[in-house]
Amino acid sequence: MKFSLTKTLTIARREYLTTVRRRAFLVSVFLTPALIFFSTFVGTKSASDDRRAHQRQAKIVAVVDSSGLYAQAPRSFEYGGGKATAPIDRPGRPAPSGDRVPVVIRPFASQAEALDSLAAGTVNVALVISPDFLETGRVRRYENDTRVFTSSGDDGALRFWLTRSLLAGHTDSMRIQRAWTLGRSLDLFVPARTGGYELKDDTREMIAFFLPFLLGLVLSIAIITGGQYLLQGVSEEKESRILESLVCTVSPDELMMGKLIGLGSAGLTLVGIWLVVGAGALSTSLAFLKVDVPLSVGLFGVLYFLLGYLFYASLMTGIGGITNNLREAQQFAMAFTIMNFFPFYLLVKILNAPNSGTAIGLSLFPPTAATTMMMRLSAGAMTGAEIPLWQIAASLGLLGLSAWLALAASARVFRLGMLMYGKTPTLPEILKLVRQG
Amino acid sequence: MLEVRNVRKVYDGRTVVNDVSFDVQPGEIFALLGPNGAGKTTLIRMITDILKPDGGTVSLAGRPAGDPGRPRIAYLPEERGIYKKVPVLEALRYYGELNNLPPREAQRAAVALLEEFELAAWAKKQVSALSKGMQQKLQLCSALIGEPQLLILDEPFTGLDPVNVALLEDVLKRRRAAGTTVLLSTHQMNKVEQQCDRALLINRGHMVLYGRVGDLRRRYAEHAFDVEGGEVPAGVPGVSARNSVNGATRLTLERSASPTAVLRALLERGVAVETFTRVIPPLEDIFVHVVTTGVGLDHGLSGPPTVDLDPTLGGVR
Repeated sequence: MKFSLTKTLTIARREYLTTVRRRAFLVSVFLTPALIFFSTFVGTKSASDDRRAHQRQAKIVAVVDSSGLYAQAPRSFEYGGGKATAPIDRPGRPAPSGDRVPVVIRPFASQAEALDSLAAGTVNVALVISPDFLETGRVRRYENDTRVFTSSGDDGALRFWLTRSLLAGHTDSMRIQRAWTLGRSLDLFVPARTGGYELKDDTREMIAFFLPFLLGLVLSIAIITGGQYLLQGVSEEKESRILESLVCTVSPDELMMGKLIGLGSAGLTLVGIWLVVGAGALSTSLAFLKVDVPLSVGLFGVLYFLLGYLFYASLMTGIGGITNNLREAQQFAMAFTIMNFFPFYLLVKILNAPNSGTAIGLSLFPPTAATTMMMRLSAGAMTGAEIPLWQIAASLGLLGLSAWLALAASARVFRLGMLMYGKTPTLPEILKLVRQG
Repeated sequence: MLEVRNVRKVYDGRTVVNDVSFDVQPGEIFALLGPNGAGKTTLIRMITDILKPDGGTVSLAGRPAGDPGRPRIAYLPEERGIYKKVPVLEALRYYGELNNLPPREAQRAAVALLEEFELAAWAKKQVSALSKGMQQKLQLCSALIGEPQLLILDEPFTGLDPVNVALLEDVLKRRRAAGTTVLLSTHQMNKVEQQCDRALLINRGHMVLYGRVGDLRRRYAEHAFDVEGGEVPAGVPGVSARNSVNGATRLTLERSASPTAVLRALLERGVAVETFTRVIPPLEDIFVHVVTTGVGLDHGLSGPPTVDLDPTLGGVR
């Protein structure tokens, strides 16, 4: 049968209109953002492992004490990870149980020397206490911290040392008042993109985490939602024997392409609504924070959506074609759905090191490429980490090739499988169908 | 219209359609018969180009089944479905558009079909709101909307009440009068006797009976006659057995006996003969006989399109 574009577009239009008129579609428009909001909290929990690892590192601290208040402070102590502390002012007291982090204090005469040592890696942290510390509480923490997501607990050991040493043997009200303000995090300065050090802005930091997270999530949900529409549509039509009536009038290829186009458009509509509403809601805040998402992230996002959708939707069509009902189809499809979301298990690692081996590997592996690259690109846009162009090109190329192969294989499986009822074929039988088709 | 020649299909080493050949003439209603699993659906799928034969050819009006220029075919499978969560008219219009009708034309054709099938009042209702019989009629509408030249119906009467069966029969007659060729697959033999010109019976992939429906029945006619009108006495020359069947007396004649001589003998004996009718078995009996005895399964050859293949009838080569 000759391929008819008119029929394909007729099918696409029907699939699109039927889908966007469904109650489930309208629910997705509102419910998914709510789920994203909920999963954000789950995401932040996964960051705690990384934070704990950072806090357990032994610390060598360069201290520049211009106030003179810490001349007699202990030069080493053990810190109990925020739970309990080793005594530094009462040496006879037994050490607390649990993980303890050794902290060594090295006095430095000037900030420049301390920062040189920090740059050379001979110390982990530099602490600069201003001359008017007692009056103003001004103290700066410098670290070569490239992580996107830091924590208020990271400087717990330093605040502990500052507080205990400040109050050791002194009970005047100014010291008590200052000790009280040390309950808050110290200002953290990290290397700036332009050289030197800059204040690490917590709000920007949050955005640098949540923007890649949200864009990655929106992309992966859009891909899987489109794929699920196809899985459901093909399964239901096969189960209710609609396909058998249709294939005399339209070819399997027209049917498959029509569905891919129609349901892909429905997926794009869904994402479009989320992005427009989301951008409208966040634009003022982002503008205020001087956060601008580069256009390239959006353009690559659309490309990754199209190729990722084509890849997954082709697989879902094939699965819908060979299985007997929706339940069976969903069981088959589960493995692929998990693969699409797999990068979220490594979210913190990817965002903290967008050019790590893990991140590059997941970007080149077609089932995880779209989600991972979206995370990397938006994380790069926020933190300045550059994603090499060859990696983007290789990732898109591999994903495109895989999508094409998946489409060709699924078309073959769909053509033969859609009229097969009874036993679901095994993997060798499916491969045989691909060869025969 | 349809020419099937030596068609064969093999699945996993099992031949499900074996060397089947037949013709369907333009404008006729042709019955494709066979027990469950005989290979009818596979044969239909090859005619509709859903499946490719492993051997032989299928052509429509001289064109291969897969040729885009071949006559329009509509196929209503035995197990069929239709979109449920859309209005009746919209569902039908969609099928019209898939059959290459422009949207306005599809709308017009859909409305006309709904009126013909007495479904116009339900046009704006959801398909799921229709009864099973109504959905059945809507499915028929979906097959007819493209004005097919070859209409393949697999068990179209299933699920219809007698009124709707009569409606469908009328629709088929009208379509046939308008030149549509119909290939009807059914297990309702009375419908085949009433509606079809010719029939093909396949069993285990082999064609075992093929010809005009009336001829097939006459060929299976026993050497027996039903007599109505009077008591038939014993000892009539040429009569080997005498039974009462549905108020008539069924006389089984000796093989060499002439029916004319037997009738004369009855009249000479004073029997008030009102009717003297050759016993022609219903198609259903022939179907059961042929399938249960495995008639024709051993011939292993395809037949020319008009030869009856039952060896008991002497039609086998």
